[in-house]
Amino acid sequence: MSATQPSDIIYGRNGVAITKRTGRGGGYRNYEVHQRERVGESTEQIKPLQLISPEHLHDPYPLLEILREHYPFYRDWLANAYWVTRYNDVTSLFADDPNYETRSKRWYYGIENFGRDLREELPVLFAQADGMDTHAEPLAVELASQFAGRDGTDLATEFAARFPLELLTRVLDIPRDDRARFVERYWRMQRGMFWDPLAQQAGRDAITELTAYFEPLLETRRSAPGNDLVSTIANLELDDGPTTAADLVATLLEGDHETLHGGLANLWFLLLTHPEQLDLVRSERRLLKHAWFETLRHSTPVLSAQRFARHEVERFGKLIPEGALIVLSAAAANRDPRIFDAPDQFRVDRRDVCQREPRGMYRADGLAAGIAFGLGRPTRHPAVPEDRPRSLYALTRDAAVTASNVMLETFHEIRLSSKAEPTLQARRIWEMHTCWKLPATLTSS
Amino acid sequence: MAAAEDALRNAIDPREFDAPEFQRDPFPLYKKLRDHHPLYHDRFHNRWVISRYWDVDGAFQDNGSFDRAVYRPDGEYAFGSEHVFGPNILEYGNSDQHRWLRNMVAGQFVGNRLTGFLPIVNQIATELLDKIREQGEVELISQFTSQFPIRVISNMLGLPREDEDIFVGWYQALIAGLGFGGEHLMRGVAARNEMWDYLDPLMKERERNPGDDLLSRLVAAELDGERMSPEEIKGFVALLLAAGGDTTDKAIANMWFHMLYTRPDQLDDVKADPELWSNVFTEMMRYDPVVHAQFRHTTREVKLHDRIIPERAGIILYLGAGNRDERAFKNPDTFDIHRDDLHMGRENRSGRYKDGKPGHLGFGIGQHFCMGYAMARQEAVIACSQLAARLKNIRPKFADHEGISSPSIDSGGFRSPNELWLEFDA
Repeated sequence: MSATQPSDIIYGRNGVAITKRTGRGGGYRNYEVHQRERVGESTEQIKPLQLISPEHLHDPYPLLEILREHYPFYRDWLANAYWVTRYNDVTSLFADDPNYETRSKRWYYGIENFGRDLREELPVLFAQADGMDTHAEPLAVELASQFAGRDGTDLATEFAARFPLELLTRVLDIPRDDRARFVERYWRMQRGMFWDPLAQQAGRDAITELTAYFEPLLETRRSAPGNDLVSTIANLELDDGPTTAADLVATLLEGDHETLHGGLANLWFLLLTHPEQLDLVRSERRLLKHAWFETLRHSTPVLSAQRFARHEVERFGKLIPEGALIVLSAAAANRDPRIFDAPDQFRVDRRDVCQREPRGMYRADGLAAGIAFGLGRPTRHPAVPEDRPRSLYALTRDAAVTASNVMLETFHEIRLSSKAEPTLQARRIWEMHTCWKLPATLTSS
Repeated sequence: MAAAEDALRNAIDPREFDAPEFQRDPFPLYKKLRDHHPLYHDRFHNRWVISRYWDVDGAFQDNGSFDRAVYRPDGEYAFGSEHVFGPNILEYGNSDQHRWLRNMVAGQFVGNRLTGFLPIVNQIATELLDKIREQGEVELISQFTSQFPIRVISNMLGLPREDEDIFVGWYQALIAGLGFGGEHLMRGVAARNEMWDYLDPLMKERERNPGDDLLSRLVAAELDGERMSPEEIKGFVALLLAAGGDTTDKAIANMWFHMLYTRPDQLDDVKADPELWSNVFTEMMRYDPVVHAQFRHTTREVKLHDRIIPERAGIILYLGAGNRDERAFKNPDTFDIHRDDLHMGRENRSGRYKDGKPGHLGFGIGQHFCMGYAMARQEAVIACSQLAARLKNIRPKFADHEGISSPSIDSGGFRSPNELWLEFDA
């Protein structure tokens, strides 16, 4: 209720009367201005049903471009969410912890009190880094030797999907006979966190099974520790009691293998569908690392992150209610033409992408990096820290580059099988967008 | 193992809520919700679903925990910026502004003021029927139901009678603009802006020469020496036009649909005793009301069915599901105007009746209980009984009908048949 006196009315540049409000809320734009802006920002170019359509699962970029260029802060009434799509908005909301929060996967499962997330414990970080560094190359060589002399190899299922999970089993030192079952359970647990009640039930079962599986293993490793991550967690000394199998499973759940899997698949998909870029990488091997960064930018496997408003907050000239779900779209932001030149092109020698692990708002050396939410927050530490291992962003990059380099060394020619028409695809809404079938012909050196 | 299989069979894929089948026939899903998921957390749509009769009733009664407003009423921001109607009282939620605004107009739609208005309602029905009584057949929606309530409400507001056809176009665009689709929103906002330009001079004129109409009252109303801002008045008019027009329009169509196709046998009872039109109205509001869902937000943690709904969670109350709850009504899926387990008379805001029977949930309960409940009932009964009395031997033109459905989720709107053709002896 505002008492409108003639003297209170001032006129904006477009001739619209702006009512000056007194007291609390004074100075905020009035209703007319909101509405004029809203007509300008009408969402007539998009319907929310499109955002859950099969076409969108297949290729999200056309719709995301509409959102980014026309509705940078889009109210999706259907999903009861807000979409943020421009690079600077996405990175700033991702860094803005006073106003927004990321919730744990255990929150999505409704088991917030299950176990402790040990991912920030230094011994755990060291064990993980050591494990990945030690096992990445031998594992890649082992895989590549299996591909040699065969007619065709599916790089998506036999290389990109296998490498990260087999690497994980080695980092954990899971006994050989248990690896297949562990991988199946781990995969089921990771896929269950989202909206599908059936997948979630299956994921809960997987969590129970994994916890039961790790209990005896943890006891064994406590008395006879090895160099693996399970042993490290078993012997971790924490203030609030000894570690349990639940802690281990919670740590595994909160972690992620999707960026390594999806990133590898997308990297090889892009290299094989852009042969001239592959030639470039072959001629100058240091570009392989840049190809990885460019893949994370051009076709990030983890399309978006969900944040929640901690309290009522004004942003984008709008009011975001407390608890609102904000979808930060990495896929849209990574193709933002305000940041990247010709963003839809895959170019391994791109000069406007950051060439190392980003920090803060996803930048380093004055350049923007491809956003990869799966790798957690950009690091706060130096690139080569003395008292802690490299960041997850760097570790993942090195594992991917090592594995891909082994492929390039082992095979002097890698090309798409004839008649293969690979595509990127998310299998379900909110899930990883990657290449699930990439048949290739490999010729040994 | 059996429990796990049951859980699988009764699991709900939340995408079912977006499917066209749900728009046409939501009742199987409602039953699954009530029986197996009385409190359903829909992660896909980021909301919680409540479907049993007494749970919906409880949420309506508990305005302290379930708020209609999305934003805090004590926040520092102007309301109405997210709504096609403009600032409207529903957005004020559980606040003093809401109580003040509501009390200012609520008295118009009940009691003596309503009784005094009934001759005009009768007259409007007569005028419309005079146009169609010679035709021998009529498409009821376009030629009668969409014309009738809007004329009544615009008359109450004191809007010029010669422009009533324009108002119909406006409110249809406004209602469609409540949906998800961008182009509908555009049309809704365009209609709203046209309507506001139209209202501006009219409001000035009523300020100078107040009449007995609602618009004059809104213009002159004061609380603590403050008047409503022009935007708030116009938002209120938009809400009244749409709420008073579209819902009653569809209620009349639904009543006739059920009498012609669901229970043609009971149409004879109603023809013999026109008083029973009141029962048809009540049972229609239970069986398949015009409005099936209401939205709320929790203001605090709420415990329900051994689970905790967090603070600031989106809640959807399916009153359409609560109305079919076996826990409240016998044979809930049968349309029966002689039902003895439903309160048949006038509704009230408390939802509690002296006869001890549960009422339908179609008007909501509590703070945001429909203001026009009495008027809607009177209008519907007058329209239906006049229609039945003045058109002889009414029968459906086509033996089959596709039934009642909700519009697609892209356009807002309420449940009704798309078309309803009648034949009668001219």
